Amino acid sequence: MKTVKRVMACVDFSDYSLETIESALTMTKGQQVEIVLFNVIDKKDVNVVEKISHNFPEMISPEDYVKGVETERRKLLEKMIMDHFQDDRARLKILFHVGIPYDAILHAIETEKIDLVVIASKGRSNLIGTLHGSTAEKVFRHAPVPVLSVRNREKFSRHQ
Amino acid sequence: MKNIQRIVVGIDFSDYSPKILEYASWVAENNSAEIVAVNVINQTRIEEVAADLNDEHFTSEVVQKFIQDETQKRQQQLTELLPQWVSAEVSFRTVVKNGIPYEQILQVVDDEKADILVISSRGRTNFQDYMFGTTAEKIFRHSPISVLSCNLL
Repeated sequence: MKTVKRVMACVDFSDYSLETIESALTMTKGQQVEIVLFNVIDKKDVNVVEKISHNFPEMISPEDYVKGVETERRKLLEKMIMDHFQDDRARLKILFHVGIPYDAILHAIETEKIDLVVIASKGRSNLIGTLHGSTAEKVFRHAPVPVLSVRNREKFSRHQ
Repeated sequence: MKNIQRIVVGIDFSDYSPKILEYASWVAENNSAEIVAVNVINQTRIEEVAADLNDEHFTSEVVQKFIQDETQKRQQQLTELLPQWVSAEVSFRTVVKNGIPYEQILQVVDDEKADILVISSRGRTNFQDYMFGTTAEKIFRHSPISVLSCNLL
């Protein structure tokens, strides 16, 4: 088996993100494996800002928007790490990309030399939790490396 | 998921099976977990056998006999396959079921109170490795526990 050196945990700041990071750490318990906490800044949002800044250049620039979102999210993630994953802090690395979420994840698997992807089966954009995440499904289908699709017995039951 | 105690691995004896066993073994070692390897005799295979027999009187007996023999054969195959790919420190059990593969695998997950399920995203029934496994897809949609899918060859 090819040794697993880098694991990507996809974080979207939904209720499932904590579980995702925890699962990535459990899978690689006792191993010197780096866990990349990966978040995508949605290109759709950046496009909107681009349009606004085209008409009102003094209001906001897309670059500033991306920088602002990144700083804000980095703070949130660092707090999450301090609160829940203090012991594993050294193994966790934070990374942001701008793009279409599933596409950015698949692209980063290649560029960041990822050996295993951990992603929640649902996320932010679900219709009140009834549907499977479309990003999760696309990653599951197209990733060239093994994928752990994270779910929780209590939160996600087949027999309701 | 803080701890993994039991890992269910779906085995279809395709080329992907050794790889997912190796991967499951690695996760099991990290967590001192146990592996339960599952193989399912597909319902369609059983129906084929039944359809080949025209004599109504004997059909159910012969089908029972087929399931019995096939179960024994596959248990044997699993017992031979696992030690080749699972580390000696990891304990394992083998289960052979019959029915619809994804339903039976999820049933074992329930019965065993497994923490994680390992499958290959492709398997036996792929159209020239072109399409995604339908069993894998159904498991992805219905599994109550985390699913690790490997597409390694």
